[in-house]
This record gives sequence, structure tokens and C-alpha cells, in this order.
Amino acid sequence: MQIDFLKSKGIAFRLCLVFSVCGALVFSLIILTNYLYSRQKTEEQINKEVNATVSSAINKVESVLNAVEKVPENLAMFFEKNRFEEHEIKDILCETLKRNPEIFGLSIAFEPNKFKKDRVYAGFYCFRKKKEIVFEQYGSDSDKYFYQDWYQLAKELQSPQWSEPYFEEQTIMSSYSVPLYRNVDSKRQLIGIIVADISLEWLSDIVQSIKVFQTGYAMLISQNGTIVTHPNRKLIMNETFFSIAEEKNDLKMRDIGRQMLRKDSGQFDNADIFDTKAHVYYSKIPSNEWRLIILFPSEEMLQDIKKLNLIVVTLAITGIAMLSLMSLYVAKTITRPLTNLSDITEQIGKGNLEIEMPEIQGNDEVARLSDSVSKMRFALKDYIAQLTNATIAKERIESELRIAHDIQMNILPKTFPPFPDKAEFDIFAMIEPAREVGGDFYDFYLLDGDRVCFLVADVSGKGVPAALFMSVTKTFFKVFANNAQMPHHLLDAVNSELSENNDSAMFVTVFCGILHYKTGELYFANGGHLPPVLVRKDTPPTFIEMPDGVVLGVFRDYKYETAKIRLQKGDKLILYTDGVTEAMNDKNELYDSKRLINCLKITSHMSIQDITKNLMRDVRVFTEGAPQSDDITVLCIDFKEQ
Amino acid sequence: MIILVIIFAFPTISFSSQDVTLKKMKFVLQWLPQGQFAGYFVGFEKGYYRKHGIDLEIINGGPDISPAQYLKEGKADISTMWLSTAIQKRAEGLNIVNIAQMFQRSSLLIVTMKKSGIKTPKDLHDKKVSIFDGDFAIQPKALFRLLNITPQLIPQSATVNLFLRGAVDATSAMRYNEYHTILSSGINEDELTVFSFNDYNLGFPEDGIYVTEGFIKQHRDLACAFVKASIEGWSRAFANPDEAVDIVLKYMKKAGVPANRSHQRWMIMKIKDVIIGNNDTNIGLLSKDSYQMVINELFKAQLIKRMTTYEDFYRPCK
Repeated sequence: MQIDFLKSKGIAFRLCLVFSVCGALVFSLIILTNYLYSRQKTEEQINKEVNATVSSAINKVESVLNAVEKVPENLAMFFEKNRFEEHEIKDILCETLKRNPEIFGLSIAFEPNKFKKDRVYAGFYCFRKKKEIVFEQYGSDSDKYFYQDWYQLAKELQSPQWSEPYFEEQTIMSSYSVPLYRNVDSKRQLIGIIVADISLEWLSDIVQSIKVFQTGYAMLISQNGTIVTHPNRKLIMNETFFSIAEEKNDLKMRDIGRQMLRKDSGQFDNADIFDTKAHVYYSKIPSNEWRLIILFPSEEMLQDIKKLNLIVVTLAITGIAMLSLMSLYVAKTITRPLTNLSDITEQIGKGNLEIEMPEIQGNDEVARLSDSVSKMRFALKDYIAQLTNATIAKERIESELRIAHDIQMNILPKTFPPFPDKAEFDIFAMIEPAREVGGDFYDFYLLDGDRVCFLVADVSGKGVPAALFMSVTKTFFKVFANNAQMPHHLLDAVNSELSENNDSAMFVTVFCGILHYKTGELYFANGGHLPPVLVRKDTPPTFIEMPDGVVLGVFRDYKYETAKIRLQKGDKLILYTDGVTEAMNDKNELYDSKRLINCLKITSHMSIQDITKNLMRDVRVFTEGAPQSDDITVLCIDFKEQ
Repeated sequence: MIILVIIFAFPTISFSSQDVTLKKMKFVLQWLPQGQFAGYFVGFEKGYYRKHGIDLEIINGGPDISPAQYLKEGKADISTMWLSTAIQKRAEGLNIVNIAQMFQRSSLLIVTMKKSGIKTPKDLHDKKVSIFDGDFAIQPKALFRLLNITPQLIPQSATVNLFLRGAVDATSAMRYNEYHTILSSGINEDELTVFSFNDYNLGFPEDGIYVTEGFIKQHRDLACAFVKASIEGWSRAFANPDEAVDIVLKYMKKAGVPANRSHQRWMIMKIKDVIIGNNDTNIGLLSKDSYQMVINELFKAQLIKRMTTYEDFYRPCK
């Protein structure tokens, strides 16, 4: 069914296709725009959220660290001004510790011989042990505390320092060391280091409580890149950002780490670290210069967008489907009446004008088309009725013309030989009428005194007028022939009669001859006709010399002339009309007088019947059956040898 | 290939010793478990010591443990020790002998940032240089003496944090250990200038295997079996570094020492360089020249007052 549908590729299909494709394009554009826009918005939102989270976390951490920093710093100021005995130091350290629950331990460690002149090691430490506060002294040849990082960093850098994170009893710790100076002999001298140890559990808690949406998490790295907190506990304190990068052979990750430690804050989009593609944000904790890193897996970010896009795509597909169905429906409402109309017009084409027209509601293009077809049907009906009438009329006229033509042909003598009792001569004639009624005729009559009069004429024009004119002319000739001594008398008389009241300016060409069949004397006159051909034994056929003479029916008082030749026994005279010489073939070539002479040359020894028939055939062969506009008439007279 | 040749070059201990009753042996490391001792851990894990008739007990070292003291007090039968340490102990009267010099060259470096402008060791004059205490300080001090410069020496704890924070201009570092720690803190190799003591004729051979004179007199075969199994252990570690790292990490975890794979792998690969080197077929060999160089430097530094002969000190298994 679908294949048929595709094959048909009708208006409905194309309309549906165009709408679907356009719909798909529009929806694609919408989806793309929506994707880009929602992605941007989501990213903006996440950035905002993350930045807010980061600053709030850093503020929280900073407030704790700053509070911790104040304790040894204040102690340092206190110790700078005053000297204390061991028990006093113990009281100061332990009392301060008691008041600062966020601190795990407080210590003061002196430079060699700075606490007491003869005492190399002097370290005092007050710290929490379970819920107790415990005091200890430390320092010995095997415990040279002044080689420890916490001591040396503050000492060498001459400024308070947070240590790298370290493990103590399975707790991550960091220490804040403050150098203690005193003026000795107006010289500023390092006396020792005051240090506060804090557990970083609370810091881990803060960092680990950071959640960005579903999967975003935070981690902390130290100045050296050591992982301080991370959801994967195995990494903590064991790995650095760079050792992980090295293990993965990931130079990009290493570069990201280096940038993080160099800059205060920043962001990496779609960074592939910690085995997930993530948006990575980092920010420096000002106090200890560690970096808080937030990773927001790209997948989650894309998940929402993907979800949104899925909805949009579903909507789009539904939309396109509905659009297609709607366009199909609309197209069908248009094409159904069109198909009906097509069937109807086909029926009309087959001639069924009585077919029922379907009712079409409305005033749209289809309705108008239907209306037009209906009107066309009525117009056709009228036209066909008219045409039928006209055809009937035309057929009647044609039938009448045919009858007229038949009558015309019937008035020509058809009996050959016409004068069987006359052995001296014979006459044979043929006429091939043209399509329409023409004006050729021939005639012959015996006159007194052993004479025979014969003539061939061609009336100008065609149709009924020519036929009538021919009848009149023929009648005139017949009437005047008996009284005419010479052919020119006959022509004069007929011309005079024809010219009378010839308003239609018709005319006729005539060759008229009177043969004294006992002697062979031939008198002839010419009324604008073609010269006859004389066929004589042992001589090529020749046109006979003609006296002057114009066509009959134009100049009323024109005087025709008669010429005379003597025929020898066996001579034949061939008369014809221009239907012979002007017979035309398909190539618009004329039969012409040359061909006539040639034809007669070949047939000269034959009887006049055969000569005539052969000439007629030759003309027919030449014209190859092309319909001729002129009658073709040939008349032969044979002055017989006896 | 070379390794295989070496393994089969030790024909004395028969492979059928598994059937023989295993002899107990206590082995003390000179430091906490790490890749520095990978060969021994691998040998232990893979049963090479048992194969050679030893029921070995490995005792971890650490800041509070002196292997020499352990040998002296009989707390251990065998240990690893730096050559310079052992020579001093011997000079102090502890009768220990070297039965194999595993690390034939020095891994000790002085590392400085390129941006400090220090290009040669001479540039260290008057600069703050943190150096490890004790025997680690012998080579730097000898070098400074040789160059006649006086850097400001800062005692260095086990870390390189002073250097990383910029508190010192240069630091000492073991190529297989602290140097990698620096790299793992985000410093690139091309940002560092490194001086190796091997390049200044002070390339002290480091870790060697030691027993007391008394032990070798009584249990020479056992000592040599230990060396053989250890070399097999090292060979396997170098051939299968991933497995070796796994084994080392297991021991580090057991000891509660922070550890990561990349660092331990680095360590094993760098130690391979000092055990095997480029074209060294003499694994475990202590050359007389090296011994003489070390003992001379120690004497010059007045760290020893009497010299032990090479032959007395070095008792390799033939």
C-alpha cells in the first residue's frame, strides 16, 4: 500500500512530503537552538551554583583556619614579651588549648639553648588524648625536632606556615607554625616556633558535604598536590594529583594540576580527570594555599539537557506526524473532488455529456473548477448541437452539388462512337471531374453539308455558378451551331449572348472546330483556349497554329477569326482543357505541354479511344492520385483512313 | 638474558633444598618498606627464599631502627645497609661483612630549580641547601669541600617540603624517591637542575647485604642462598614491575605507610638502573675501586680512624 502510495506521487504525497521535510527542518532548528541555549543556560546555572558553593565553602574553611591561626599568633606575641618557666608554659599552653576546642594540640619548641642556656632541647606540647588534656616535653638526640618540617618551614621562611597534611593516629592533621622572635642585644633573634595542630576531620566534612546537583563533588589538594579529601578514600594522602596523572600517563591532567597550583581560581570544561569527563572548578584556600576542587561530571550536565532534548525530539516527531496527517487530510479533501472531476472529464471526453456532476460545497478553487467543468459540459453540448445542424446543412448542400454535378455530366454526350453511320471520322471524349463541380464541357453536332462541329470549353471558376454558366454556354452553342457557317460566327454569337448581363464577370475559353468530313477541311476558331495537338502519321505531334481570340463572355462585340487547315486521312486532333497541362503532383510540378506531346508521341498509332485513355492514365500516374482542382477533359477526333 | 645468565651462574645451592628442613633467618631492612626493597619482597612472596632453604622473616626498618644494632644484638641475621654506613660501623668495631653490593652506584642528587640560576655545583656557594642528616651528608659535604664552597646547610627531614615551599635553594634527594616526590608535586623535570654524585667521582655504592663475621663463618651457604634468592627476586621484579609494585604496596599498606603506584613503580625502575645499569653483568659485585673511593672519603671526612681492607670487608659468594 505504501509502495503504491509512493508510486502514485500525487499531490497528497508531495504536499505531505513537503510539509514533513519543512517540519523536520524547522524542528531541527528548534532542537539545535534549544540544545545550545539550554546547554549554555545549564552551564551558566551550574557555574553560578558551583561558584556560590565554592565561595561559601572557602569562607567556612577560612573562618576556622583564621580562628586557629590567631591562637599561636597571639601566643607568639605573648611569649615575645615574656619569659616563662616550664610550669608556666604548661599552664599557658594547656589553658589556651582548653579554650580552643578546634585545636588538637599546642606546642612551643625552642631553638637550642634559647630556653635555658644549657638546654639544647626544649619542646613543650599540650594535646588532647581521648577527652583529657595531656602535657609532654620532647626533644632529644634522637628527636631533633628542629629538623622537622613544621619547625623548619616557619624558621626558614620566617613567617607563619601551614604544614602539608600528615597522618597522626589515622587522622589527617595539619599544623600552623608561627616563628617566635625576641630582641637580644637589639638584634631580632629566632627563639622558637609556636605550633597549633588541628585535625582536618572538620575540613573533610565540609568538603565532602559539598554536593553539586546529583553527582558533582568536591576534593581538596594541598600545596604539593597531595589529595587531602576525595570520595575515594584510597587516594587520600597516598596519591597526589600528579601521581594519578602519571599512573594514567595523562599529561593533560598533569598540566591541569600545575595550572591549579599556579592560579588562585579557574575552571576547566570537560576535563577528563579522575576517570570522568567533568567540568572542573578550583579555588585557593587563602590561608594554607590548598586548592578546593569541584568536579561536576559532564554526563549529569548533559543528562538534563538530553532529557529536555528527548522531550523536544518526541514533541517534534509527534508534531511532524500530525503535520503529515493533517496535510494528507487536507490534500485528500482537495484531490478527492479533483479525482472525481478527472473521471468526469474523462467521461465527457468520451462523449458522455449527460454524466451527473458531483455536488461540491463552498466557493474554493476546486468548487470553481467543478463549476467550470459543468459549464464546459453545457457549452460542449450546445456546440455539438450546433455542429450537428451545420453538418446536416453542409451535407445537404454537398448532396445537391453532387446531384448538380451528375446532371452536368449527364448533359455531356456519352455515347461513343456518336455517329456510327459516319465512316469518315470518329470522335471520342472523356472528362474526369474535379472534386467540386467544375466548368469543363465538350460537345459535337452534325451540321448540314457533311460537316461536324466539335468544341471543348472551360468555364472560369468553380462550383454551382460555373456549372450554371457552363450549362448556359453549352445551350447557347447548341442553339447557335446550326446557323453558324464558320466557327467564328458561332463564337461571336455565343460571346454576344454570354456578355449580355454578365454581371458576375464569368467567362469561358473555347476551341471550336467544324470539319468537312468529306474533304478534310477543318475550320476552327479560338476563344482563349489551349491549342489542340495534331497527330499525323510519320510526323511528331504538333500544336496547331491558332487564330487570335479572347475568352468568351467578356467583350461583347469581339470579332473572332476562323483559321483553316486540311486534314489528311488518318490525322487525329486532340483537344483538351488546362486540367491536363496544369495537372499538379505532390511536388507542385505541372504536367505541362511537353509531357503531353511525349505521351501523344508514344500513343500516336493507337485508336482515339486508347489515345484518350492513355493520356488520362498518364496524367493520373503523374499526379499520383493527388486530388485535382480542375476537371480534366480530352476530346479526340479521328479523320479516318477508311 | 643477562639476568638469566647471572641466576645460573650461582651453582652452589641445589634446587632440591626444598626437601631439606628450612633454616630460619631474620632479615632487617634499613628503612620502611618501599620499592627500594622490592627484590626481597618479591623473592619472599614468590617463595624464592624457601626454595633456597630459608625460612625468612623480614623486619621492617624505620627511623628508630638501626640495622647495624640489630646485627650486633643478634636481633637479625642479615640486613641491608649503605656501604658508607657499614664501613663506619666496621671501623667502630662491629664485625660485619658485605656479601653482595646490590646498589652499585649512587642515587643521591642535589636538586635545584632552574629559575634559581644555579647551573653547576659551584653556584651553590652561600646558597641555602637542605641535606639529609647522617650518612646522606657525607657525599655533599665531600663535594663542597672539594669545590671549596660553603653553602648554608639546612638539615633536611624526610621530606622535600622546604624545597617545594622555596625555603631552600637546593635540596638533596634520592633519584628513586624524593626526586619523584618533587615531580609528583607538579614540578616538571625540565624545570629542575640535577647534580648526581656519580658525575663528581663521589658515586658511593649504596644498599648492600651484610652479615656478621660470625654468621658467615657458621652459615656461609645460608648467606649465599639468601643472596641468590634476592637476586632472583630482583630479576623478577624488574621483569614484572606491575607485580612487584603490587607486592610492595601490599607491604607498605601493612606497615601503614602512605603509598602510591606511580611512586613505587618509579622507585623500582630507578633502582633497576643502579642494580643492573646499562651493561652490568656483575650484579652484587663490590668493586675494589668503589670501596677504596668510599673509604678514602670517609677517612678524609674523619668519620673513620682505621681502614679495613677490601678483602676483609667484602666476602662475596663465589
